Amino acid sequence: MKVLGLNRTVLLGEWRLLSRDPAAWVALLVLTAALLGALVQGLSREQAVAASLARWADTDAAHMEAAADLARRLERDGGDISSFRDPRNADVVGRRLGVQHLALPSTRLGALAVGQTDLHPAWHPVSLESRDRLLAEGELTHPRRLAVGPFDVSFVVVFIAPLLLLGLLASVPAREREAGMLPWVVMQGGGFGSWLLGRVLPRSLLVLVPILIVGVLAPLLQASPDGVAGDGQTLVRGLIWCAQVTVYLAFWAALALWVGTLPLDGARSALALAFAWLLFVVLIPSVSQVALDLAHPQPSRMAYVDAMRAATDVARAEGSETLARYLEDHPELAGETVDLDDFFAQRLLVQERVEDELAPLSAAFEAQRAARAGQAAWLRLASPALLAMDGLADAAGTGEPRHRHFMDQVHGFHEQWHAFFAPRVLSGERFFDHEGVPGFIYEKEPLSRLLPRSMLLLASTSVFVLILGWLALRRCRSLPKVIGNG
Amino acid sequence: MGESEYLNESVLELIGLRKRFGDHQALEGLDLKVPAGSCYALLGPNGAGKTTTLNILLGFIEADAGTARVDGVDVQANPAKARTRIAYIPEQVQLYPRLSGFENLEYFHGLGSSEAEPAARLRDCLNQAGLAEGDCDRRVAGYSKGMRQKVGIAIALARRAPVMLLDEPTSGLDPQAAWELNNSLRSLAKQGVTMLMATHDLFRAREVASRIGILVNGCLQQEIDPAEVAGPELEARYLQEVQQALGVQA
Repeated sequence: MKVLGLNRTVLLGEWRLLSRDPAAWVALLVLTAALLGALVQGLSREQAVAASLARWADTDAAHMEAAADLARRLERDGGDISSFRDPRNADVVGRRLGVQHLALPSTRLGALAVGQTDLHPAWHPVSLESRDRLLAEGELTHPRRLAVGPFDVSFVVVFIAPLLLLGLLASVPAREREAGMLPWVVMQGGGFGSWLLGRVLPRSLLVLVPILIVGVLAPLLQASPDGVAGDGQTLVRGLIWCAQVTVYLAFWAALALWVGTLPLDGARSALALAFAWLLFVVLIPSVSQVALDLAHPQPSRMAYVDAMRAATDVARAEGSETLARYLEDHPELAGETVDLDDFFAQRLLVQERVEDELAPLSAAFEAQRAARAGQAAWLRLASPALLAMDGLADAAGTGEPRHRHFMDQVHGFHEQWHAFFAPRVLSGERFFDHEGVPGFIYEKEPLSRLLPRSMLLLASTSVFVLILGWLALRRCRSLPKVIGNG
Repeated sequence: MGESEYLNESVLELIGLRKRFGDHQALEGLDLKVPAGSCYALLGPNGAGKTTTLNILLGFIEADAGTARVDGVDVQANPAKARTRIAYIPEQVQLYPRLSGFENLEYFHGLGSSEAEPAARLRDCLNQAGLAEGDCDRRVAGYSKGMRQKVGIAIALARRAPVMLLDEPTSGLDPQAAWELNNSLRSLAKQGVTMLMATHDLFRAREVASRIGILVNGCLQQEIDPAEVAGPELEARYLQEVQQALGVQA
């Protein structure tokens, strides 16, 4: 009787063997413990981030409302207040009192892949400050996370699961070969390849199924700030995440299958698989990083800060000259109320001038970053582990592409914010339009952008699987070599 | 000659079989015929070519020259089909120690069978092979070598193959277990199973085989009808052939 083209007896026998093998239970226990630990870690982080974001949203709204109240009261009742705290001052509102913390909402799969939150924070403040100064702000997460590091479900999938899987598969069929069982197995008929697949598949499922269960549990357990139980995008992202896990583990299973067809004894087979793990999970990613740093070094933050300081010093020294030159360029803003010695107007224009001065440097840095990202995209093709890392984070919504989508919106909002406040700061008029300040609504990254990326990553890993599967099949066909007699 | 007539005459047929491994000529034009329902014992020293002969019949090794046929099927041309006609019992019957004798039988029989065999029939095969009822459901880890051999025979019986190949079946068995094995083989021969047995054990070969071939240096030196010779004479003829072929002074 066949199940999915595989011999039912082999599957049943393999299940019996696995259920009576203490090593299989230990592997399952280790995997379950690691997955649960990682899930709890991911969920608690997501909860902390969601709570922080909600708190910031409330605080931002409360600050703006308080500023509006105070402005109305001061206007009605009069009173002394420092210009630097006056809510009727557009610069004070745009730069301090009305600071907006823009949030990248979780996809509900965020607990599965923490991602590089130090590089890709889930929030970003926007004010009249320059974009670069805002980028230097830190992340809004619990310091415990920094101590624990990114131990998440994706880490378990990429690093630990292959080790456990290879541990379960290393003796298949090396143990039979060592014991001289293979000729007998082949003699029974049914096909060597089919038998081998029937042995590898249940062992692979032993590792895959708990991961997929956690993948389904995570979005269900993750509290949604808006109480929505997830949408179509969550489902699609979840399916992509599961597909990434399946294809990644299929790569390791195919590798074990191929090594299993080589005439190696158990010790050599285990050694070969351990080396493969080291190669694909540790060595290639490390070498790729070194190659990337050599070919496209990270832009120097220090050089950028130095340039920013130098430009700021020059612009400040020129003081009111900067403002006068600006008003020459923008005569529509030069009302009667403009005071060339106005501190706030000068500060804003100094800042703008610094930004203009730094624009070529920023563009060069951005080009360098883009070249680095392009090179990294090619280098990840060298290892399914790299592909899986990117694929899992992207599906969970914590990867670089979704963060860039968020940052594009942040930059757009920053420009909108600036366009709203700058004329009001320069005009020097009192500000009462607190209700009219721009608001930010995150626009989801469309699936039409996520799907091609994910498909590319899945296809790239699948190429590895197909090559290894083909090699294994070819070996299975040359039976004497597989058995070890030839 | 039609295939059915051929089958009645020789179920196993080797013609001019040659095989070389590097400098070593394992088989040197071996000719051998085993009629249906008979047991042929292939005697010979280590390196004589006995296991190579079995491996060629099993399709695990390709002969350099010559023809090997099993139940009318050319092994070289269609090894998979030839294997369906063969049950094989290796020198060391290796089973999964965490499975019981019955589960091992179910597993190995199921590998080549598209239909699940009734449990009663499989248990019958174990009983036929001489495994005690109480041992069938015990884990194989606690089995003796003789008990493993019996499970091996049960697996062969369950296949209902017309040909059985045995590689040193009595090697390492105690006298009682070897005697029981011989009884099982005799019973199989009576059921019409054709057997080719590679062995060193002259005494057991004489007990169970209907014909004995002495193989030395890949050549069949002599064929003997065991009914016509006593044990000591068989041993003397065997030693003479071996020493002659190897150039050893008696």
